[in-house]
Amino acid sequence: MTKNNPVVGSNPLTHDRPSNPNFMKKIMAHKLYPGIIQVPVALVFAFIIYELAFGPSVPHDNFGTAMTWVLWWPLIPLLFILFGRFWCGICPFATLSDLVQKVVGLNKPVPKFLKKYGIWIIDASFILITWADHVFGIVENPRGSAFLLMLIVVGVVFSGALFERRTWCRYLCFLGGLSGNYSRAGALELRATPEICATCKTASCYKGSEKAPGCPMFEFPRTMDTNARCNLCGYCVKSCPNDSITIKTRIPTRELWHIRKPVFEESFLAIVIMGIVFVQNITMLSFWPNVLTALENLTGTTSYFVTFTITFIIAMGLPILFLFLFSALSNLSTKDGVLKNFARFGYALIPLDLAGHLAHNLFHLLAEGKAIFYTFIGMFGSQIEGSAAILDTATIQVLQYMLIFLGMAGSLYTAYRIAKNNRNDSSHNNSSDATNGNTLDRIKSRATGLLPHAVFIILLTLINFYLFYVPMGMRM
Amino acid sequence: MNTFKSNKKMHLFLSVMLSFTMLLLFSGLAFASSQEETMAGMNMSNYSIQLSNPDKITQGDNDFTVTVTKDGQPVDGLAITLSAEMDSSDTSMHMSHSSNDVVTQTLTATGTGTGEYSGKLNLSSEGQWLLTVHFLDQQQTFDVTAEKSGPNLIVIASFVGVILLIVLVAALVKKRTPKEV
Repeated sequence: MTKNNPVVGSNPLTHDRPSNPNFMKKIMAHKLYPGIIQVPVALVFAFIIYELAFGPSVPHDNFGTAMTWVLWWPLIPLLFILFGRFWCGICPFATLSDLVQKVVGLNKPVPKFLKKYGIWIIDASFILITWADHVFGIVENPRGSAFLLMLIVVGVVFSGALFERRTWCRYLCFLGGLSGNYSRAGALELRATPEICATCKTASCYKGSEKAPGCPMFEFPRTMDTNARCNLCGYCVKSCPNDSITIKTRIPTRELWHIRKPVFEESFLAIVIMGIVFVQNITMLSFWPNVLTALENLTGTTSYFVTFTITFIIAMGLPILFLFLFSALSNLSTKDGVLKNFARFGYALIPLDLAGHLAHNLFHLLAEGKAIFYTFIGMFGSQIEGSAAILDTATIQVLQYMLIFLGMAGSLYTAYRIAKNNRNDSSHNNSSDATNGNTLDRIKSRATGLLPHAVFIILLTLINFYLFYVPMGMRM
Repeated sequence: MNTFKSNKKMHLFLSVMLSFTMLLLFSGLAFASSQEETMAGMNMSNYSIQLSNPDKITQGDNDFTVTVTKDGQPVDGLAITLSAEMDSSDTSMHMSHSSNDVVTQTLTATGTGTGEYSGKLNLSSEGQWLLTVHFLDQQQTFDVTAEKSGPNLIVIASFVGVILLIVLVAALVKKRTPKEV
């Protein structure tokens, strides 16, 4: 194996990194994993849905709202960075899907349209849910939150009853799309050992064995080179007869540097997430009422449906348009086509996406975190009044800036590595010619290909800095 | 032939499920809570008062915001109280307490230069309430209706029903589908 000609299924990303699989692999190989985590998570989740549907209708007093939007939603991106899609392995929806499948599952193959358009369905549902949250009320309305979760339950039960494996998780879950992108920047990976797999005749990792089912996410660990669809369920660890599976730590974002087959829809989701972070920030800022008033005057209507939708379209649409624009500029050098350039460099936004998501929700976790305790006590009839803040606003703001700065650094470096790995660089195709002129041309080409995207990343960072500079309102 | 019948059942199953899901989506708008509703008060001595509240005022705690402006400019620094009294003209059968119950809450300013004051008021029962804003020598009354704050049992039952239906139909189809040899 050489750097430029990797063997199919090999892992050029961590081959020099000492493995640290024993502890983690032991956990994943244990017969109680992941069930021992899935069961309590499912029970807690069921209780959360109960509280959202039957508990106090005021979000400030609802334990379900506090658990979902003050604790779980802020912690999710942190889990993705540290442990990849581990949450998906213990997700209560996945547990429910497995249970339904076990009892009444028809195990039909996944329809072709889902395989082809699933990520677009995920993109669309993410956008729709964000829009509906503001127009109809989901996060700040316990009943709305309950409705969303129950709708997902219906989808999960339907998918588990009809299709094989975890079709919902792989092709329909909006959070799955998000986690797929985020986990690519994660610090943990599960991979097979190509040399061991080369002689394997059973493919138990995919097909399953008497020890464990096959991969629920339709992945073939032998050739899997991405975290995007690995939920660390441990089935392959248990079923592999050759002990080929390894679980290693790695440098966060490293996978993003070497995506061999960039997918346009995944990059599109990355920029959509950025737009969503903008929308969520803007609507919680102190100047938001002024924006609404200006739109009301412009449109001649006070309908929030209209004014918010206009804001939403602009906040979502502009980042997408600008990424196209900067991709077009970059393509002048890379010459691989605007769509391909978009697809390749869109992944570079994921670290900044993560940072923005974390930073936004960090505010809710740290400025309203005690609400989790207060609402829990409230269920037993006691009322505790007082600030729900764990940290003061100024400290939280500094943490937000640090996160955004880290995200920017991660995105810029990722973009640099993507530009460096450009296989369509015409200079690179003449790599046998070692003259200084061609080397300089290659460097110049990569730099000019990188520059527009670097400018875009810095621009998005500045917007994020500004949005976190303005005071943010509470959720609870 | 068996494959054809199985496909036909599958299509029927999918169609039924899709229909119920659409029904749920639309019925779920019953859960919907749109943004704040604002009621404007009459001008009194050049003061203008707006009362903002959640679109759905319910029995129990509700957050209210009063915005006071004078000659178009927000007025800060006022001592504002908001009181709520059950409308004695309400002949709803749901009234379970004396119509003389009055709850009063002092509102706190939400910021500087906004003229906004907010606070939480507990409306002890569903029905018609009179909310009165007091400050200086002024007062303004608004009519509101407090609805029941409990869960929407119809929507919840619909979800449970759809889930059970999916499981039941899948179980029936599975039972009737011949097993592959």
